[in-house]
Formats: sequence, structure tokens, C-alpha cells
Amino acid sequence: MDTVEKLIVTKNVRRDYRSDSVVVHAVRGIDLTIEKGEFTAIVGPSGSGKTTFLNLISGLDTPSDGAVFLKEREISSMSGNELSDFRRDHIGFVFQAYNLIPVLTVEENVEYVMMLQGVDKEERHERVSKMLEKLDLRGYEKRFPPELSGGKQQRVAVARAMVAEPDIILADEPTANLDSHTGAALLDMMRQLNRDNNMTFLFSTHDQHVLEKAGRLVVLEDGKSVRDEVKS
Amino acid sequence: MKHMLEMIDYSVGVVMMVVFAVIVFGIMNTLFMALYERTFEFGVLRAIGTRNGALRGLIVREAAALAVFASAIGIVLGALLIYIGSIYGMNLTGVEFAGTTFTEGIHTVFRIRQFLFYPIIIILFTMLVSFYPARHATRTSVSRALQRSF
Ligand SMILES: Nc1ncnc2c1ncn2[C@@H]1O[C@H](COP(=O)(O)OP(=O)(O)O)[C@@H](O)[C@H]1O
Ligand SMILES: [Mg+2]
Repeated sequence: MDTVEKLIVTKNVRRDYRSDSVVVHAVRGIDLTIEKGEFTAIVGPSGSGKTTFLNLISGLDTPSDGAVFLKEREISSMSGNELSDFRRDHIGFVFQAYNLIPVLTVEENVEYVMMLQGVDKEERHERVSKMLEKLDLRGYEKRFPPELSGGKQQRVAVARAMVAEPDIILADEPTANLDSHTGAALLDMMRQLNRDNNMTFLFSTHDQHVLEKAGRLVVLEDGKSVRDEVKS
Repeated sequence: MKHMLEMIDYSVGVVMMVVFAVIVFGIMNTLFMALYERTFEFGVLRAIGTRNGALRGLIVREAAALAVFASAIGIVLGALLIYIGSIYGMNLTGVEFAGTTFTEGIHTVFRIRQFLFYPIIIILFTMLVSFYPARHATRTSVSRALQRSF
């Protein structure tokens, strides 16, 4: 009996960029299934299509061909408010850097998505403080992002992504702007959240230390998946 | 003399129209620059689930807040100048103007129109003008907005 939940399914997804006469095949037909609770790294050299592929999965970009499903709903055919709301409710994001709104406090940044969701104030504050506690960010509630170190800023971004209780957190090179020690610490924290909360993570990296911590490795080369290995 | 003053009223109207035209382009330009700086930030807000309409609403409200703030400064400065002018006036005794010779100085007069009507018009105009850059901010694709060289 198949009890694992297929969270993300991409079917022969492709993305071509056309500019003038040049066509770049950024993603050239990737089939990938992500199950709930996985901690997967997408690895590959710069230009191999990691960002494009993650953007296709999250609906930030539309495939030229193929389809992307999240919980059996075809995200690649949504648009407008439907897509915005879908991302708000189902996907958490961590970017390379500058994730946070500099004029909002840490607390307000983390609270933001829940405000969009219409969660009431009391519950928001409760969830924010629990999440900041988990990410070891107690005492930084009223601080502004530019006052924090890069590592702490990324932790706030993870908190913001987690707190809205999405189905999956997508992180495009979340450690690229951190030194290797801080990057490894961030990954450990993500891994902990993955284990404790069964939160699914899909992140890209080309950092050796980071990919060692992944539970599954998907290797991209020239827009194709060339290897897919599950580790212990 | 009465005609002459009406003419001045009329020319104030013309000047105000020119001023408005300048303001429209000024606001548009300022907003475009202010929004361009935050392209990435808006990309993040949209990525994490902000609807385009909500983002446009934020931008228009920010422009309105700026206009209110700027008008308040203008009103205070204007009132101050008029107050000073009404006390000291401008000594034009003996000066001839349109066939009339002034026998006393002229003094500024507080006109409610300039303190209510123009600021309100400016604020409404700013909001109207800001729709265009606001729409522009949500036109670029999110993935494009997030593309940034670090
Ligand atoms: N907006 C774009 N327009 C044209 N080409 C692009 C665009 N974005 C990415 N590409 C190209 O697509 C390929 C894959 O890029 P990307 O997905 O950013 O790779 P990675 O994230 O692995 O570095 C590269 O060759 C890149 O130059
Ligand atoms: Mg990339």
C-alpha cells in the first residue's frame, strides 16, 4: 500500500527563455516527485537551472511545457490572485539574501503572511513567539533586519516561511551569502524543523557542506536531472 | 484697478495649472525611482502571497501619505509667510501701477481656498498619478523582480 503523500510532482517540465533570436533551454524536461517530509537538495553548477526549476515549482514562473502539481493541484496553470493565495497558504520561501522587509521589525516580518491569511492578532503573536523561540531568535522581536547578522536574517526568513504552516519550504541557495560555519548552522536548524515538524524542505545549493546534510540529492546539469539519490 | 486684480486672479489660476503639470511629472518621476529601488522587496512580498491589487493599494496609500505630509509642511510655511506679510506688508507708497498710484503698502490676506482646496487637489492628484507606477510595479513578473546580482 502506498501511504507516502506525493507533495510535488513535476511532469516533463521545461522552460525556455527567448530573447531576440537566442533561445536558452534553462530547464529541459524534469520529472521529479517530492514526498512529504523530505529534505532534498538540488545541486548543480551555476546556470544549471536550479533557480528556474524552483521558480517553476512555486509558480513564480510558468513552464513552457509540462506541468507542476502540488497536492494534485496544477499550480502551473494558476494565475493572478488564485496563484498568490495558493503560494501564501501552501509554500514558504527563503531566498539567497534580503528576504526581509527592512522597515518592518523581525516580529512584523514573521507575522506578515499570517496577516494576509487573516489570522487574528492574538494567535499571530503566539505563533510568532513560538517560532522565534524555535529558531533561537528570542529577544530580537523588535529589531530591524539590517541590524542583524546575515545568519540571523536567514533564520528570520525561515521563521517567516515556517510560521504560516506551508506544505513545503523552498529555499534557493539560502546559505550562499553566509560563511560556511553559519551556513551549516542554518542547515542544521532547517533539518531540525524538518524532523520535529515533518516540514518538507527543497533547497538548492552548490556548497559541499550544505549538500552533505541533505536527505536526498537531485543533481542538475544543463537543465536536466542527471542523478537522484536518497541518503540515509 | 478691479480688472487688474481679476487678471491677477486669473493668472494665478494659470500658474497653478503649470505648477500642477510640473507636480504630476515630479510625482511620477519620484515614485518611479522610489519604487524601482524596491523592486526586489516587492518581488519578495508578491512571492510570499501578497496579491497584486494589495501591493498597488500599499503603493497608492504610501504616495497619499507623502502628499499629506508634504502639504502639511506647505501649509505651515505658507501660513507663516502670510502672517508675516499681513503684519509688515510691502511698502509700495508712491509706486504707480496700472494708472493708479498706491498710497499705502499692500498686505497679504489669508485665503481659505489656498489652504484647503489646493492641498486637497494635490493629494488627490498624487493618488491618481501614483496608479501608473503602482501598476508598473506589479506588471513585471515576480521571478524577474527577484533576479538580482548579489
Ligand atoms: N530571465 C532570464 N532570461 C534569459 N535567460 C535566463 C533567465 N534566467 C535564467 N536564464 C538562463 O537560464 C539558465 C539557468 O539559469 P538559473 O536557473 O538561474 O541557474 P542556476 O540557478 O542553477 O544558477 C542560465 O543559462 C541562465 O543564463
Ligand atoms: Mg540560481
